[in-house]
Amino acid sequence: MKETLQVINQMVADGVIDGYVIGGAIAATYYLEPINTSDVDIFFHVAISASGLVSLSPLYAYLRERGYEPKDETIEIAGWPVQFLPIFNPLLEEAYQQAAKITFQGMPTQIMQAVHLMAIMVQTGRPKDYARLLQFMEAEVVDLTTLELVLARHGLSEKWKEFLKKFGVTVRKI
Amino acid sequence: MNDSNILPPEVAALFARQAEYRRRLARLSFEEKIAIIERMRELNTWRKHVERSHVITPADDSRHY
Repeated sequence: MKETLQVINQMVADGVIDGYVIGGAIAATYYLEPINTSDVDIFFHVAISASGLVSLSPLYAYLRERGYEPKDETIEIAGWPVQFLPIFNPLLEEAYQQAAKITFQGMPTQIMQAVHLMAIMVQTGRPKDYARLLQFMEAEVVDLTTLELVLARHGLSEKWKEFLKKFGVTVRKI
Repeated sequence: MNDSNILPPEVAALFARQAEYRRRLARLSFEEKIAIIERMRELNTWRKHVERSHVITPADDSRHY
């Protein structure tokens, strides 16, 4: 993982991407118990070409030159399949802007805050997101008042209420 | 209703131990947690390799009867 982050940080230094934030299961693992996952989700701003098309070609070309090959929807970097995902909505943008700065084995990196991970799970709403939301709530890592403010800001309050009702969850604010 | 009220005591105790185990895992450092995930990935790869390489043949089956 350290070497993977080193390569991604170098991509920022070389101007291939302007920055990034780690999301998904790896970010969730920072706050919870280890989650069995096969890849690292990296959120970044996609460069839009003059014609208005979104292209990942420069990113792929950069990594290919260094011997990292695409595999399905990921690119294998130093033993970890990395999925590069565009920041495409205001919630992801906020998660990027307010990312927690941490170090991994001395390597600086950015990881989504727990409150944003939870809000994204509410937004995405797949069964695995709801299962992980319950884990976050059980672990009490987020002040739910703060979460509800984020959800309201992004128009997700109704989805949150539906989730609570569906799973019979009583909100206990910390 | 609290689950512990409807579950047999030994099952409730098992769940409590499991929850404590998960809390202890959550308290590990990020580096330790990633090391655990990397080990999980190795085991997944090994398991898939074994599943792919070991094709059950009629001869294998006959040994079980």
